[in-house]
Amino acid sequence: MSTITAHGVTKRFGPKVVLSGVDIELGMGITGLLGPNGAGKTTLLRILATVLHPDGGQIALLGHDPSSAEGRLAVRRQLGYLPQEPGFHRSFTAFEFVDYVAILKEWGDRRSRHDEVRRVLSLVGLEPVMGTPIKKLSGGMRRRVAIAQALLGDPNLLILDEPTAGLDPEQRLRFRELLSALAARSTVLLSTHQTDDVAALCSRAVVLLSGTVRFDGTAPELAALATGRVWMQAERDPSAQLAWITGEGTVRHIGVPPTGAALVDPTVEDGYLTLTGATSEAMA
Amino acid sequence: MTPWHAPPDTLDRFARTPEALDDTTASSVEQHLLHCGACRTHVADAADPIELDLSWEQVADAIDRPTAGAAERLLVRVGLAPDVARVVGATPGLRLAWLATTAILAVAAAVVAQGSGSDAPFLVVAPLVPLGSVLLTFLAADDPAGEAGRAAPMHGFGLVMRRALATLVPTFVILAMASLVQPDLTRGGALWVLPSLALTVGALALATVTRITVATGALAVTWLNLVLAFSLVEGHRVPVADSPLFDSLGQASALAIVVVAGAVLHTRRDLFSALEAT
Repeated sequence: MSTITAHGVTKRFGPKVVLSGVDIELGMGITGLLGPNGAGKTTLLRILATVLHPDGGQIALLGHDPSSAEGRLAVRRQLGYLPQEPGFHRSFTAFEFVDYVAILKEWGDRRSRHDEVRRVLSLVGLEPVMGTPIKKLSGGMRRRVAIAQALLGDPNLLILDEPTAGLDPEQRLRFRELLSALAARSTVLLSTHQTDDVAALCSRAVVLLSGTVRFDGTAPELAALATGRVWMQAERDPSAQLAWITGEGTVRHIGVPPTGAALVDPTVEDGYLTLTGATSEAMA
Repeated sequence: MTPWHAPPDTLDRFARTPEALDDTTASSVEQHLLHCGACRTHVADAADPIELDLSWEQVADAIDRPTAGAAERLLVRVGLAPDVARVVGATPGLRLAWLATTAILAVAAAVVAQGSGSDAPFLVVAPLVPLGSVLLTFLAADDPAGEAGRAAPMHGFGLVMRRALATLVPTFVILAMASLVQPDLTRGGALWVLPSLALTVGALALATVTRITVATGALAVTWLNLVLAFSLVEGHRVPVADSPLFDSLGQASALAIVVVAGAVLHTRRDLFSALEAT
């Protein structure tokens, strides 16, 4: 059953068209939203988080129409949202910040609210620094504070804009564990530049390019786009679309392989790079 | 030497019904427990685990409870619920820097008025100050929860109005105090009120149509142009307080704007839950 439905969603900022007829239908589980910078990921997430109006198209979230005040309220009561730039009140402690958001989320009873704040802060491993002012926390810790506020109340819909940015490997693993537990009962939509997060976490991947959906399928299907197009060899082949030296010292290539090339299994990253048409020249 | 231990029944009562012990016995047991592991174990075993958890929760809650700022404490005193006071108290327009700016502007206008014997500076500046308060109330970058707060259910008309009021009340109080030192109290002392309200409610109503920066900016420019335009009567410059902008028709017009803008604000109040970040 679909929990997020968007048809023909458009958005422009001045003359710049940011979203151009986006169609997606998502259900419970984790969906990864991939795309290069400027593809429209953040704009789409902001629209789905009810903080930005689309210029056109229809959206239904958890069965509600967010274009009406009642619909927005109903969605917001079931929503957890991590913006790309959370905008902390830096003199707040981690506890005070999450507590403040909990008040905005209508947690009136102080005792149960504080229990919930402690719960979500401990979920992201911040229990020992709950009383520390946010301005004294590292970037990764601040990101975890922002994630904690999104988890308040176990929301049915979780929208996360680059949640793993700034997290160390151990925290990323812990975060994956946390999300996979949530995904059993919620719809999670996250944007990321980390294709390995998509491969490890997401039952579905959507790739946005220039404001339109260019791929919508599973992570293995995304990887399969590069089938027969990835090979390894000792020297760089200038005819390849993309080539880079791996940790083992060999060169991994994406493109049309030369005859006799040693083809390897593609990864989600290979599929994504094939789809975006990224080239070594463009990335130099 | 055999170490002394507190009597088991005393320890049991200390753990389960401490209120049944007299103060001297309770203090003695407390002191003894600090140094006696065996008795501590006895108390821990005797205590009701549910009560114990509850006690720890209360201790943790007391430690974690956010400290209220001066504005927040004041709001609780005037009757707001603590959670609402927390949200309203964190309003950017309530920050000391803005209130200090408001006070400095008001005092400066009052001093100039005293020096020059004219209430013009105050009458021109006073209506612009609440506009600044309205602008600060709305600025997303200054919201303590940033964009996450805009996706919260409380975000909407009620929250914006509470925040606006929390900012505007002290602003109007400061302006009212400054107006008391105007050269002609009976005339200039109250002339600023209706134009200030008209600009304030007008800005809130316009915020449902355009961005708050545009709304407040446009109204500030309009106000200054009106002051300039109405200070010329039949080609002659007249004192600001004597201009048609502040006569009875001008005041009636300001009141009409308050009523119309208030009606627009009420009709379009649902749009506040959809206002976008600036």
